[in-house]
Amino acid sequence: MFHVEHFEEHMKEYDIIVVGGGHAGIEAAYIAAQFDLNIAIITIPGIGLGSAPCNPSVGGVGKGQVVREIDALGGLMGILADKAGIQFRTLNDSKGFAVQSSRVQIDKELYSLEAEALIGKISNITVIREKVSKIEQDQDSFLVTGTNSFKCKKLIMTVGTFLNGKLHTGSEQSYGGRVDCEPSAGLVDIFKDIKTRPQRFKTGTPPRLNKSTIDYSKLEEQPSDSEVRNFHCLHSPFERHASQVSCYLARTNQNTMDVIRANKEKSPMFNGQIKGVGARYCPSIEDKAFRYPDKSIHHVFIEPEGLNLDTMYPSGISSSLPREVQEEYVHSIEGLEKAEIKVYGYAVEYDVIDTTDLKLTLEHTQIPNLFFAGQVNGTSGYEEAAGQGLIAGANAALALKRLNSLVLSRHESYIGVMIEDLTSNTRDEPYRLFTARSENRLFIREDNSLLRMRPYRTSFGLDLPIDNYQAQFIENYEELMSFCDETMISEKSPLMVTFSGESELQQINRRMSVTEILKQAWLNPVSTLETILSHYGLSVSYDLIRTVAISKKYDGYIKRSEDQFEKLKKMDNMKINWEQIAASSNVSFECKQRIARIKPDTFGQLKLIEGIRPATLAVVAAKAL
Amino acid sequence: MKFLYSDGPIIACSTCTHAHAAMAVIRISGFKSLSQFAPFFKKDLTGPIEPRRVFYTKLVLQGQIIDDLCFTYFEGPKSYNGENILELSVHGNTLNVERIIELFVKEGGCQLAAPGEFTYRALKNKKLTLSQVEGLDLFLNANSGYALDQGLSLLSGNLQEAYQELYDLFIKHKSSLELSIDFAEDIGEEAAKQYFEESLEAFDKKFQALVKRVQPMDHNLIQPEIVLAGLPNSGKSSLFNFLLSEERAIVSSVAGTTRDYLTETILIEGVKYKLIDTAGIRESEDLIEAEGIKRTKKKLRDSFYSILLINPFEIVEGFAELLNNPFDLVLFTHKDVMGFAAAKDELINKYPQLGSIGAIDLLSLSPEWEKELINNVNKKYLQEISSKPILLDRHKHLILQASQVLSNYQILSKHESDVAILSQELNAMGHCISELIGIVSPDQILNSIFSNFCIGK
Repeated sequence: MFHVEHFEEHMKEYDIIVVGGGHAGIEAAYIAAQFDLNIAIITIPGIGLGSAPCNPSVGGVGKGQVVREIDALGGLMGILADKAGIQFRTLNDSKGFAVQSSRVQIDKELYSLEAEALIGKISNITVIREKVSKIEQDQDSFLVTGTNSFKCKKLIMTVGTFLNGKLHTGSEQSYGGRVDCEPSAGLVDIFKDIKTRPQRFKTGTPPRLNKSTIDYSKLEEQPSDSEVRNFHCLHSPFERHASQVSCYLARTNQNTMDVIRANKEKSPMFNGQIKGVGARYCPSIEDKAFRYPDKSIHHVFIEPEGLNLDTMYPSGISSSLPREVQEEYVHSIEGLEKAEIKVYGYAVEYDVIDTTDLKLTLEHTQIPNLFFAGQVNGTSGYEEAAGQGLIAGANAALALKRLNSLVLSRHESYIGVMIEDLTSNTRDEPYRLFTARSENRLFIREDNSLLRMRPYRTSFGLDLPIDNYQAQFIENYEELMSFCDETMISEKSPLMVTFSGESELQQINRRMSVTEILKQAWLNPVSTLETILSHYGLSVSYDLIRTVAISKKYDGYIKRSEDQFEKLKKMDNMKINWEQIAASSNVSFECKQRIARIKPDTFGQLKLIEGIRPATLAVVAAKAL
Repeated sequence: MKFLYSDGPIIACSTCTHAHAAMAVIRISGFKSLSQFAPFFKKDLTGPIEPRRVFYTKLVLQGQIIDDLCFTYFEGPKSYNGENILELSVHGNTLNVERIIELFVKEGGCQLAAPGEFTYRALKNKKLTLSQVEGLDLFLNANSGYALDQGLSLLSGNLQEAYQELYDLFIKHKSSLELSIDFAEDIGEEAAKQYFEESLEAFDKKFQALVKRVQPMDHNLIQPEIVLAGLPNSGKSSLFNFLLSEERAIVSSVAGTTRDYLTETILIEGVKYKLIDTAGIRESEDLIEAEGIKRTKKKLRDSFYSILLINPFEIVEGFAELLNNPFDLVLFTHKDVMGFAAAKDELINKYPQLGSIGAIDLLSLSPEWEKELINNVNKKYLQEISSKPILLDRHKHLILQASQVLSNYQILSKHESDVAILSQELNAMGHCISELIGIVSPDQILNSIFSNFCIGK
């Protein structure tokens, strides 16, 4: 380890320095600042805080839940997304409350401006615009050097795709974390004690199109939904802070795919120029063409990047093909025949660290006081980055305040699922949250995120407006829950007639508590509870009705799911001997390699390894069955 | 089950029948190196010995040759149970076998293997799955050609494959459900719905084929039982002995001599049956006999083939109760006694259900009559195995359980729009299927999604 004899005396000193001003970085700084500490964000000059270089949207399936978890913990993302939101949607609207998620298209310019304004107003956060070139460590502090040098007790690295970043468009290559940005050196050059993984990751973006050159009459319009609740709990539920616009749906066709297939050798991804691994869930148009040779129709969502920006983001056709090929395939799509490309698509390769070296607090296991969050941890998505930023920021602050650290259970939150997945196993590809990653999907919902996060927020011991709001909310929640249990409605009540369904089985023919009524499968619990409350002349907030009604509806199902979870947990805790499994002739070569690399101690960890075959698990499980 | 925890070298004779034979195979498993047995062999075992090759040598005890033999070395993990295994083909005199085993136990650090211990180690070392061990057990202890085939089928054949295919189809359907939650926007609602329905149909088809092989019958076909029942003194024991051609049951003219039931094995057309002679059914103060009656009823319920013997001249209390049990065949005895036809007709008039069971009037226990019985039994057996029934109770139970869950799920999937609830119902079925062969993890589902569907923007 490289030790510095003594740091210079006059050097500016902070409690916490966050390197990087992206979604992870600002979230870390914002939560840590609530603890009355001195925070600095050091970020590359020329890029606004919280910029959105990829999709101009926040939320989505699973991710909407993360944004609401962040908001309930006192984070920033929900506030910014509401302020910059220009199109709101509920995904999975018809598929039940547990899997419904909000997604907001953001004006990326506005989003960044709001981030600058909000962070700028916080007196104990200093934003320093310098490129960090060296980090050294003394006994209990770090020395961070850019143009100037700064000292801190806790250091949070949220450097995104900038580590050794390399951009590709056809055979053109340049260095940097994104287009038009100066590159950063490799992490090892900045910080000698940190190891990155030998396998680099890759991500890509589509070409940006000139807004006024698209023929919208040929596309399917998707207007903003006024019934989507804002993310931030203190915002009025349905108030919109910016003008609302539409997204549009286009589709690729046979010609589009023919163009791409004819240019295979020009694609850096397929000619060997790019060595990094991309995510399967975020395939480039080349991936789609070659991995699914029988399909030619793929969705392309045309998303506005901002009210005052003249570009549209065609989500679904990211590519690193040469410029002329990008022109050709874009123009083959109906509605985009005359679309002008303002910025060409590119792929970026970058270094990531091995997250199994991190604790559940996101602190490094070998280097105390150093935290990592965001894309440098091998995740993709603004929401995933922000969630980690909050965990890292809160834990850095809690440690300085000598309070218990913040570790979210995977049973209670998607952030918890993500962090456990990240720290328990080395991933083969960029990590994104899906609801399928959770074993407790019925409980980890958007509507109850405040309930789920409240105990954690309380443990911070803070007394801010959001804390008062939450305390009041919980009190009202308990009251309304008791009301539902205690209020009995007679089968003869006119209310009951409106609740009865058409089939004979759906008649209500006895006295029931409100709780029981809310559990009836054919009733929408939210509107039912609304009707009951207005019958009694009670005025209750939208948020409260929703939380109580849906909690009641799922109550029985969640208990069953918990039983299943307990069973699985028992199985998962079973100790295994990975050396023996890796030596077994019944296990495939690929599985052996993965097992030997990750060295799982329990069956649960073995299961979490990506790409482990069912047959391998069956062989191992046979012992426990 | 002490052996579950031992891991030292074990030894046993793998062919012993407790009788002299030309040769016997002794198996030693779990030793560190062949060289530890070098002092007992004339051939030098301290150097490398080529695995899976037969060598001829002499066995030596204190300088004296005690047997000449052939041995084969199987080097772990490429052996039956993953451990180092040494197989000795020795002369089959039981004293010789015992002396050699004693040598390895006393001087070679081996322990006598517990029953099943070699295979248990194969399971422990992941050389076999639980299903395969069950198959092996069935194979080694098969009482019929059919059980033999099914044992083999479970060990590595088409039944194991059928389970694996079922599991794959389950994963496909589960992924289609997850697809509609996490990726509906990417592929479109219509396509998601189509994948859901198609995958459910494919799974259902495969599964129903398996359900057909689980007969809702109480008796097992692994060791089918033929049960003889009747009132006391109706001739059960005589028939039992005749079928076995030896005097085994205590044949006595005093009613109630056979208190419990006697069991012997008989071979009919290549299938080993358990032949069971039950106690007479009669209300009794004698506790043992009362217990015998209870067991008779249970035996009849579990039997593969049940025979009711009736002496039409001796119908006593309890006959009606006995008739409540299901029977495959009724034998009327004492055909040679005067008034037999009238007594029999009277009985059938009184108990009409008797008329619906196939009946034989028995004059004497003759080979011709025996042939007729054997044909009847064999006909039933062939009919039952024609649907390729699954023999193992654990598997039958799991398949029936999953069948119930599947039909609930299918009903639910038609009217429940909450996909998360649907998904939870599907998990319950997943538990049954994974118990048949393996375990499902979220990553497998995602892997399946990514390999089959185009996801992402």
